[in-house]
Amino acid sequence: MIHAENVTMHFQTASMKEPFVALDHLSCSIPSGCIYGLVGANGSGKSTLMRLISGVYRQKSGSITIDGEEIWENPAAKARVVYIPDELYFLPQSNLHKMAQFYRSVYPSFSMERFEQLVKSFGLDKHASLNAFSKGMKRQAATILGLSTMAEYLLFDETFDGLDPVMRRLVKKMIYNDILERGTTAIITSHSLRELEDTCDQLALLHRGGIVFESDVERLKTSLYKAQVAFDTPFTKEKFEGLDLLSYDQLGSVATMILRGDREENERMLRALDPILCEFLPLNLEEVFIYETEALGYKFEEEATGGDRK
Amino acid sequence: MKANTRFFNTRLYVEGLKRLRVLGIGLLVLVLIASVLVPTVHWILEADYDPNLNRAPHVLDQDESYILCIPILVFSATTPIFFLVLFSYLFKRRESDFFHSIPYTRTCVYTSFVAAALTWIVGITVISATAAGLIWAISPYAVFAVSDLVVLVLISLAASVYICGFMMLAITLCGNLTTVLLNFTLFSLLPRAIAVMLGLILSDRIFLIDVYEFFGGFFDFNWWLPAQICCYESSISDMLPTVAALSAGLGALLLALSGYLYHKRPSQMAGNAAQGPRAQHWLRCLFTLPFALSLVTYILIDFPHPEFVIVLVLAIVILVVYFLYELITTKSFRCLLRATPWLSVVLAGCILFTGCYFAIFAGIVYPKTDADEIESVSSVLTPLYFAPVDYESYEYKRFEACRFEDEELRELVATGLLNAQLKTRGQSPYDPKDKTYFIDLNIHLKNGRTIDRNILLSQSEFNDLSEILQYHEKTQEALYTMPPAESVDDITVSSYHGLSPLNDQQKQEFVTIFRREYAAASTEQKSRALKGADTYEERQGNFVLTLYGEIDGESYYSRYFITQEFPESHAFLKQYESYEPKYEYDFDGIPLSETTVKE
Repeated sequence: MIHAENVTMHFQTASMKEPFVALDHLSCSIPSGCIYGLVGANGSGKSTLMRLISGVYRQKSGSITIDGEEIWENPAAKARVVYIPDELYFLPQSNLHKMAQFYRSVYPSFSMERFEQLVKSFGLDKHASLNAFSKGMKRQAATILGLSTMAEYLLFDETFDGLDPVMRRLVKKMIYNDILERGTTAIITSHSLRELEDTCDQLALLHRGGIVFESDVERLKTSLYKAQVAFDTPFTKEKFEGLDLLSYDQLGSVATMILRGDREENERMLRALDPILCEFLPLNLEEVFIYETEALGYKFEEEATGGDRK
Repeated sequence: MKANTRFFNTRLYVEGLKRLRVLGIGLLVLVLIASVLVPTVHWILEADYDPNLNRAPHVLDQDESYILCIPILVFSATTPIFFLVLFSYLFKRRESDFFHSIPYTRTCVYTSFVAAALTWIVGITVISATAAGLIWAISPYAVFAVSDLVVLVLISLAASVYICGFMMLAITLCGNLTTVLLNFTLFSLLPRAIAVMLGLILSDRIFLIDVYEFFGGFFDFNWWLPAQICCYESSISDMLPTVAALSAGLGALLLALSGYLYHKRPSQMAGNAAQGPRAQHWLRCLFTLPFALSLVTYILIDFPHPEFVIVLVLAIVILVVYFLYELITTKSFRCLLRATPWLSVVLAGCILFTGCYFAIFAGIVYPKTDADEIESVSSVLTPLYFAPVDYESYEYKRFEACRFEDEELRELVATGLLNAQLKTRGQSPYDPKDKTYFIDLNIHLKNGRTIDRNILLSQSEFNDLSEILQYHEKTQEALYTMPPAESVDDITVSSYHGLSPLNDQQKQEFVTIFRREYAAASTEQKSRALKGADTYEERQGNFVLTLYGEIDGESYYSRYFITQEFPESHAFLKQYESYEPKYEYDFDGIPLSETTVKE
């Protein structure tokens, strides 16, 4: 398990007047054997958190541990983690084969067999210069190398964003196999919730250096739903007291609401009010995130246009 | 066996060697070619001499032969490039993140990579030196000694470690190539620049001390390794190994410090000028400091009337350097305004520097030393004022070591010291038209301290001092006593007209005769023997005896002009006078056919 406790991280270059706070007293726990997704806008702190977990950065305060061990300057802990960054780097004038040799010398659990198998699956030429690869191919190469380390924790920083759908499915399959066979934990960051929806078990939303919302995907999908009801007599919102309403919108005799709680119980309560129309509609994950975060008081659209948090 | 990931790792070391492969092989080829070419070309040029031009081929003696290995010394100046290339990943974010993500401690990465860079440097130096040494050894125009070659290799490696220490310090403190290069220049030159400037002020304003011997030679340029190597002369070659060893020690310390800084260096610093705004401010101030100190130096030297124009120009230069550094390193005009208040740090540095000068000034110029506090004085007045001895002679060294305890002498010295202090303070006790003398001497105090000072004497005081010294029994004994036989290693006997070679026994016999005659001679006769011949006529029919030896760890040579004032000795050598000189002119009246023998 990866545990972050009250982690703060800020950056200040020589030309900056004030430091930029990348992570602000962040705490989270990432259980072993899961696929954990981190979603957030640019500058929300996703990559910073990944770099802290992989031991590249050192937090200004707080602690980050892997199974109770601090990561910073701990080769044994770092050997259990492989970080595939958003901006890739390969050794100069190298090809996949040379990079594999380097990784093999660096990571004690690196498997050449796995490497060969993955190279074959992805269809890349391991002796071709990496400089000649396209951006997508480089991401594939980095993924191959990362998976071949047989590390317990795989950190993919916006890696999937650069892969085509076929490769994305292949990588997901590799990760699932690793999880099932070795109990690997994968942490994936992305801008796109839709991207992570199909892949991750758990999701967390980062905003301005903190985790705003964290939950497992299945629970998220079933936690909220949309209901539309209509009555032949005038009514107001008070009619629905007793229901856990996240959002309410009424247009004439039709009310649309977002409800939390047991669906059958809520349906029973609504039908008891004798509506002329009562329909339940599913929400996608994006909509769930939006309503949940609005309930927490985050108005992202207003913030983007200069509004304040409630 | 589990690989070491904490302090040093062989695989990382090999990776470091591989990363430097292209640079290393390229430089190896270049340096090897140059190292072989220089002695070869020298050989060819010297072999191609024309005997009709009356010039013999010049055989480089042991002290000169080092020039055949100049390519290796030049290479040592370029070695920081190995560290710059190997640690260049620290200048780019994604590369830096990559190397900091691998499961090794930062110390392990640092030591493994440093070892790889040093391996290339040592390899290229040794291989090139060996190749040059082989040519050197078989060349008939150079005197070769394996020990000299080993010393040269060690000096070159010491210079490499010294200069690479500064480069690594710059790399660990800065985040991009421009800032690294600027600060590498700063770190390697700043300490010496401060010493030079302070030395200039002290030598100009404080007459009492020999600046280059003060502070144990701190201000002496000869203690700076680059100066030693560039200005290599046989007369200062004795210092070079010591200076090289000290410099290597400093370089090693800097590498160790850099290792600590590397451990602390955040990966996110890559691409930035410095670790943060405060570090940036300090580096900028340090970079500007030598320029600011040059203004302070000028003002103090020309005090109280420095030229306004020069002050203004230097002040403008300081501001330009200060803000230009900020602009070049941060590429931001916005930062210039924020940088302005930190000029006060530069000002504080100048005040500190000035304070050091005034503290030294006050410490030397104000404390009064009474005659009662002086136990004795030595190295008083060069004996050349009253005795024609060579600086390297046994007699001169004996005289320098004499300690004079006479009360009159101590009074004179105390007066001279006070006069020098008064003059330094601008209160000279003498009329500017009067002739005065500055004399350097060692004052041994009763509290056990010895101070090296220049004293100031008027003409009459100087005459008194000279008289006391000239006729002092210690002076007579020092200047007019031949070196003891057991201290003499070699004897040379020569004549302008040529001398048949003398065998050991003959030499022994001659020196015995001369010792007897010299001991019985008067002071004036001895003085003339020490003085030697000034003219061609004086040299005719006379001889020169040179004794080489060592006393108290210092080598000496003493020459005696053998004339008919020493009749037995003169007659003894006369019987061996032989042929005409081979060349019409030679430099010291010593023919090429002289022989030496150990006593």
